[in-house]
Amino acid sequence: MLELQSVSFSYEKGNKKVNVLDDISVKFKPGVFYTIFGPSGSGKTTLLSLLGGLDVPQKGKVLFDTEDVKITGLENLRKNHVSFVFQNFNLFSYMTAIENVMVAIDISKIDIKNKKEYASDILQELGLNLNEINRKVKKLSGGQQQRVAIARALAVRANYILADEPTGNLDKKTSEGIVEIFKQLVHKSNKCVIAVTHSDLVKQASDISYNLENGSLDLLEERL
Amino acid sequence: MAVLKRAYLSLKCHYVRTLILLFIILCISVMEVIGISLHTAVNNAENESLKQIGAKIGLENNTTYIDKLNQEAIASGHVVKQSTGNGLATASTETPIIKLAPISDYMIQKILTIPGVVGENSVSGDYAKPVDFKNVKTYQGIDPSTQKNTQSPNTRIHKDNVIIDGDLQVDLTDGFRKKQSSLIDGSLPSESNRGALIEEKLAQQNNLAVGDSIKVNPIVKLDDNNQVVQLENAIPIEIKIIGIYKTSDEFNVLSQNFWGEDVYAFSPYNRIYTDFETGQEIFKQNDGSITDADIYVNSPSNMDKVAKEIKRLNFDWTKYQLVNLTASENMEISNQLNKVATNASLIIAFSSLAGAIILILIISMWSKNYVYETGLLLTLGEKKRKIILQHLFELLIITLIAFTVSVFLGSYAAHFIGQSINQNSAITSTTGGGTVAPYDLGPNVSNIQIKPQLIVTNLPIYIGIGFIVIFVASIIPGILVFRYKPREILSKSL
Repeated sequence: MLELQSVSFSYEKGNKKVNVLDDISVKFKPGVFYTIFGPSGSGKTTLLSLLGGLDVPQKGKVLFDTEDVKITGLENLRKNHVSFVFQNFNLFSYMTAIENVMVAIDISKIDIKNKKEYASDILQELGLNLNEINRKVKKLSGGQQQRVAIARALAVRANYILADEPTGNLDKKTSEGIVEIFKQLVHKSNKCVIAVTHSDLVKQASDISYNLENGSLDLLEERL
Repeated sequence: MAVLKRAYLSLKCHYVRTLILLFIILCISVMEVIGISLHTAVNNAENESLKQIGAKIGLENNTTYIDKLNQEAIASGHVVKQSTGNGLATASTETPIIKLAPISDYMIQKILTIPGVVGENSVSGDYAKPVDFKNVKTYQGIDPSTQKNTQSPNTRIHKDNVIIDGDLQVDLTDGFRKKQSSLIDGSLPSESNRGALIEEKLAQQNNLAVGDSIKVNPIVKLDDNNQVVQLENAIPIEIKIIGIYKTSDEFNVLSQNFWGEDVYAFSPYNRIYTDFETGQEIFKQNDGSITDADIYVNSPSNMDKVAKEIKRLNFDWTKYQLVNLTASENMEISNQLNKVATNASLIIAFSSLAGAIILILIISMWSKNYVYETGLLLTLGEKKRKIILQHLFELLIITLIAFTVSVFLGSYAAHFIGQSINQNSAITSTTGGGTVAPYDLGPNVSNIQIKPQLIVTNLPIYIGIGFIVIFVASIIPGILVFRYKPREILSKSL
């Protein structure tokens, strides 16, 4: 379980201190699809960064399986337990789809005999054909690139997928496809997807929705 | 392995960047090779020159002591109107007759036991008149017959003479030590192998060979009272030729020749080497006394140490003194080569510094991409050191190619520069006599050749400098990026 415990985070904007997260406590469990709503600048990406070990809270703790990630290691958290999916995909543009997935596998050091076959299987499960798998990612469409990003997240067997505006750059049809993948990952593979989004489509597909505004994280909907 | 693979893929895909980096590193590497090659060449040239010049200490009569003897001789009326002594290029119309303090065999043997002393030589000799052969009158430059002897017009006529050079160790004389003279037939004269060693041209002109004999007459000698007297009807002395040598020197007569045709006696072709005793016999100096000794030291750096040791010996130092016979020549060589060495060091330092700065600038120019990849790798859980390692590998792969090419390109360029230095700057050293002569004797000028080369022993320096530059160029951008938290890095690249 990934958990924020009395977490606060602020930053300076000019001479003004902005409290984006103010004493927030929340738990994220595997097998649940979460969405976090909120206006721009409300701290959604900050919250996701703290959950993913890209930053540390100024107050409070981030716990993974009840252990403080500051103690167990942020790098360890990123390498073994969480994966990111970004709005702009964040792929290595000069690599092929399969090479992008294999980079993540190499870094995570998970014990797989045939890494190439394993990466290929995941990409095919997400709807890419063999030709697309071996193509440079910059030559793939937005939807295909996002599938590669998701495949990369899945390949390292992380249980928590942190998605920052995962459909922000995609058309409606492609977005539906990505949302469907997330739903299957949650309900069939018992993964936890936490998506920061402005999209109603994603919100409606999620199990629990939160709204982040003025430093406070409030429950919007729960469909469990 | 994954890091290396990423580095390779990155280089392959960013091929424009790779080629630019390759070009820059190649330029830096070539500069490094040139600098190091020149530096090595200078060191080698200096060592070779110092080897040629050698390290030589003169043990001779103290000048204060000689002055005292001179004053005593003049006061007692012991003077002669002819030139005297062993000084080959001296001439005087009135010279005091003095008897110098001899250097005994005991003194020489004591000196030879000092560590660093590799040999000793003493010279007995002077002008001699050929009896049954003629001296060589081959010359270059100005015809001596068109010039007048303004030095000593009425005293000595050396036009047809030769110089007898009686040595304890002929192989230690300047010409042989500097490899400008070499034995081509027979053997060198020594205590156990007495006789004459003549130059090839003298032998050819007079149809002489090893086993033949030559006759010479001394010009002056010491009488029974140790007084120098001119010989008018001396009995010729016969010497057996035991060897023939060849000299690479040329006899170049200059416009300021003040010896007229007498200058022929100084020709390197008219120098006849004999063993020390034969030299003494020719000039009737066979009282066994040596008044000057050249002491050879194994290295110029040991000169002071050896001189101190000699000074500790229980000799009468009111009569003797030590003179560094090679100091000025060594200094001259060092001074001239130091200029090239300084330039070479500047090239190395400049190319290393400029290389590091240019590389950092280049990497900074691609910082957006650098930051993006760093942020991305951090989100995937990659370690910071491995990210730096990837960039280091990228530079290393390029550098290995550049280094290999630069070894050839740089060596070629260094060779070209070396040739240019040799041709244009004319780094030469006047070695040997050290006096301003009216003739230019080959043995007195040795050219110092700069031969740039990158040898195996240089490679660690070259590779070391290269790696330091690359390491710095990889680390600094990394340090700049890793100041930020992964989230900040990622947000900077977005």
